[in-house]
Amino acid sequence: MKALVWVLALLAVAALAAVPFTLSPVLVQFGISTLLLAVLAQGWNIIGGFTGYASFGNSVFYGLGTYGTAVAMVQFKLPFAVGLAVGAAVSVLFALVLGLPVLRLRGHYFAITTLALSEAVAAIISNLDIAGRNTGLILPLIRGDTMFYELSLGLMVLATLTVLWLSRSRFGFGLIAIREREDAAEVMGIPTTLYKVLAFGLAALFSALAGGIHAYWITFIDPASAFDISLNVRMIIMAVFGGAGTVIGPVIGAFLLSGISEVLASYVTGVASLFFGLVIVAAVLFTPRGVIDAVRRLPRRGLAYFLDAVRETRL
Amino acid sequence: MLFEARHVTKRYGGLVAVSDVSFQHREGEILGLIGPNGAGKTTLINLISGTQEPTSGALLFEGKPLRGLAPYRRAHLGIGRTFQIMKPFPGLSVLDNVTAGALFGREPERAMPPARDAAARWLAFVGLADKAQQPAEALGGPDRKRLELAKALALQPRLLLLDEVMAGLNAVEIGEVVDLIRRIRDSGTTILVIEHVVKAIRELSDRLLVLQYGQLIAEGTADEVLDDPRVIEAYLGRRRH
Repeated sequence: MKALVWVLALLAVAALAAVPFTLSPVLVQFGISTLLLAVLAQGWNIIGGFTGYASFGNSVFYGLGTYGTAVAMVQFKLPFAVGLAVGAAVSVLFALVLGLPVLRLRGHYFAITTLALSEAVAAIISNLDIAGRNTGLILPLIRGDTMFYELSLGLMVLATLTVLWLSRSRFGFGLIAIREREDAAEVMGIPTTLYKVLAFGLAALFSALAGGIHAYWITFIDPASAFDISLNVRMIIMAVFGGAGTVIGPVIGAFLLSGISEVLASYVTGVASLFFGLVIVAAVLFTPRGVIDAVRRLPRRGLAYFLDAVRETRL
Repeated sequence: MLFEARHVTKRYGGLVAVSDVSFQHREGEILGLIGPNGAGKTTLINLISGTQEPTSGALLFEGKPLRGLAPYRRAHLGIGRTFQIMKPFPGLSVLDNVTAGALFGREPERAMPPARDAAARWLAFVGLADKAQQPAEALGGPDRKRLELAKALALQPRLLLLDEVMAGLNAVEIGEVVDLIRRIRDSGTTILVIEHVVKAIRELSDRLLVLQYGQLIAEGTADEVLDDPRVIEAYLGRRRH
């Protein structure tokens, strides 16, 4: 059974890796943004799904990764790989330093504070000459969708393997205990502050790498697109839709929702977002624990699963 | 001396929850802590386990001051506690609740499989082996008490602080828990136990401390203390003549 799951996972990755060589360029571009969204959802999963801190700061990590990479490449003429590393370093450092005070807050207070962080950082960036102020930066042009696609896929696999490790390790177990009841976790010997900050940093690492890849791929960045709060909302929706706190859920969520939104956009253009909203509402009502949980338990529970879900959401 | 409190005071604004309390806790001793509701018993346990710091005074564990040490550091040193209002990890299985202690306690396991094995042994010890796979939130009251105990034991504490682990249990269940606590002591753990069930505390304790309005009003063997007129007065009020 375990071996079967691994074989299936390998086949899935191989099939995804073959996409640029077999399917249309349009699909490859769709693939890049979907894969990067999956990375972001997985990054949110680490701090939101495992640790239980609903972060709205992940889009800041993404933005800092974006700008770190762009500034390194444009202003200092550094190669892309170095740019990525700079973006990741800036972002992780930011997460560690800011995490220390911010992760003392819980629930709504944490969410609101991280939300404000995003606005603050965007404002700072728009006033930095080195970051091109309001107008943004233009990165060296490169044609290489296949490279960007495979890079994004590799990053997604790395993020998912990291989450898999979390789900089986002492560190990940500590994060889950913090999510379940932080004061009890602390008394049980778990260094809660250290663990939370590390989880924040890990989330920042993946978000920043996704931002860096996206920046070079799209070649033009500005504060509004790099620090977009709606991007943070999307990663949360994707992670929760697929199953927050699970290993593969956020990836499934990103693929399904990207697919649905793409199909809707091409067939019912005008009212696409309305339909998309309906999909989200239905998901919250019927599969509040995520698609993964539904797939796992539906065969055993049958339709009663949905009834239980509706009861659970107390509607 | 395993643990010592020296002139420990905890103030909340104008309210003095614990007032100038000093006592010593010998290795291997079961110390009972009694007193009316609101006397400061749970606050004292919070101060020892580190969820709160005393306003003044010193707490010494193996002769070293505890001030400034976070609760998790105290758990690593060997201070384990239960909560009166039980705090299981609701979404985790009974087994995994205990696994947390085995992973992060005084002599922690670094890998999951041995930690789960250790947790299973503690569950067997408290009599919850058959419920290991249930979600913790599905347990009933008495089983939750046992789980709370197993979680603390998995830390392999040297000093175990038990906050009303018998509240709400019937006579048979109380007998079982008394027996459990004795076995824990016999395996080398020093225990501080808060309890309202007088019969149980009389059977268990080597010595008793009595708190009233945050002050230590009596200290001694169970028989001495429970016959002390000040203690009777604290519980029953002054006899009118």
